[in-house]
Amino acid sequence: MSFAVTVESSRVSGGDSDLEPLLAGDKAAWDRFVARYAGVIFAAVRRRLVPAGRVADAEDVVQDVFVKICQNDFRLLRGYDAARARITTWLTVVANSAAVDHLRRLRRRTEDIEAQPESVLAVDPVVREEVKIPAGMLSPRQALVLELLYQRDMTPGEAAEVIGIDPQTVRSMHHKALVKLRAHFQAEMREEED
Amino acid sequence: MREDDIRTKEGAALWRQTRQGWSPLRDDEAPEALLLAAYLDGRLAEDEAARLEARLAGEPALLEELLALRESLAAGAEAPPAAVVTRAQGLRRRTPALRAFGADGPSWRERLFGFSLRPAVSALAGLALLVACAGAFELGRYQAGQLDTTQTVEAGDSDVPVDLLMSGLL
Repeated sequence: MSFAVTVESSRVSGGDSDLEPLLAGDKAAWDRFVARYAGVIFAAVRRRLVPAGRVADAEDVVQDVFVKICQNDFRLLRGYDAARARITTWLTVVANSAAVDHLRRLRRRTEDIEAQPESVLAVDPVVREEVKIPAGMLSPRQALVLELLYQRDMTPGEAAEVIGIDPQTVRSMHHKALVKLRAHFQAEMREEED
Repeated sequence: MREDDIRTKEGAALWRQTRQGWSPLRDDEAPEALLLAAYLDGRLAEDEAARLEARLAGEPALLEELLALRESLAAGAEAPPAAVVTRAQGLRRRTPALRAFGADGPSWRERLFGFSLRPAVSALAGLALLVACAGAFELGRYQAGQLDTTQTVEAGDSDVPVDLLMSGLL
C-alpha cells in the first residue's frame, strides 16, 4: 500500500511544531527530530532484533529508518497524518517494519539456513495461513475476541486492552460468539446425521 | 485457572473446530503503517477497525505483529547510542537559513535585490571575470611593448663617425 504523497503540512505536523520546518528543509529541525525520536526508533528496532540474535545490526537498521524517512523529499513522513495516530506510534510501526524487512533480507541471503538460530527463521513463518470463518457467522470483532482468548491465552481484560474496548464487552461478545458457533456446528452435525 | 477467566472447554473446542479450515494466505499486502498505528491509538473509524479486525482474527502472523507492536509501545523509548543520532543527523546537509518573509511575501526591495536579481548575480560575476581577464591580457601586451629592446636605426651620413669618412678620402 502506498502512502499519500501530497498532504497539507498541518496534517502532518499535528502537535509537533518541528515537522513543518523539517519538511521545508530546515536542517536544525531535522536535527531536533532525530534527537527527539531516535530513542523510539532504536527501541522498536532493538526489540525486534534481540530475539533473532541480531542486536548488533540495530544501529544500521535505525539509520535505514531515517534514510527512508527523509528520502524523496520526506515522502514517507508526508504520508503521516497526526489526526490518525501519534508520531511515536507511527514511528514504532515504521521501525518495526524496517527491522522485520532486515531480518527477511538476511534470511534470503543466508545460504546455509541450518546454521541460523531458530528464532531468525521464526520471524516470518514459511507458511502463513489464515483462518477460514464461515462468512457472516461471527463479526470480525467476535472472531478476534475468541482468537485472543483461546489462541493467545488472554484474559478478558487483556483482550479488551488489545481491541480498545471494555472487558465487559469482551465477555458479552464471547458469550454471543459461542452461542452462534454452537448453533452452527449443531446444525452441521444434524445435516451429517441426515 | 486465572482470575477473570471466562474460557470454557466447550468454547475452546468450538473455536478449535472453527479454526480447522486452514487455507493459504491470500496475497494481501501488509496493512500500511498509518492504519496499524491508528488502530493501536484507537483512532480508526468503526468500519476501518472492523476490516482490520477481520484480518487480525484470520491472520495469526498479522495479529502477532500487532501484539509485538503493543509490547514495544508499552516498553517505551530507549536511549540510543550517540553515534546513531550523529549519523542520522548527518543525513541532511546544512542549507542556508531560510528567510522568513511576512504573510504578504517579500517586499519590492527584497524582490528587486533578492529574488529578481539573484540569478543575475552569477552572470554579472562571470562577466566581470571575463572583463578582468581581457584587461589583464591587454595590459600585458602594452607592457611587453614598452620593454621591447629591438630598435631600428636609420644610418645617415651625419651618423657615420668622422674617422670612417676620413679613411675613405685617404
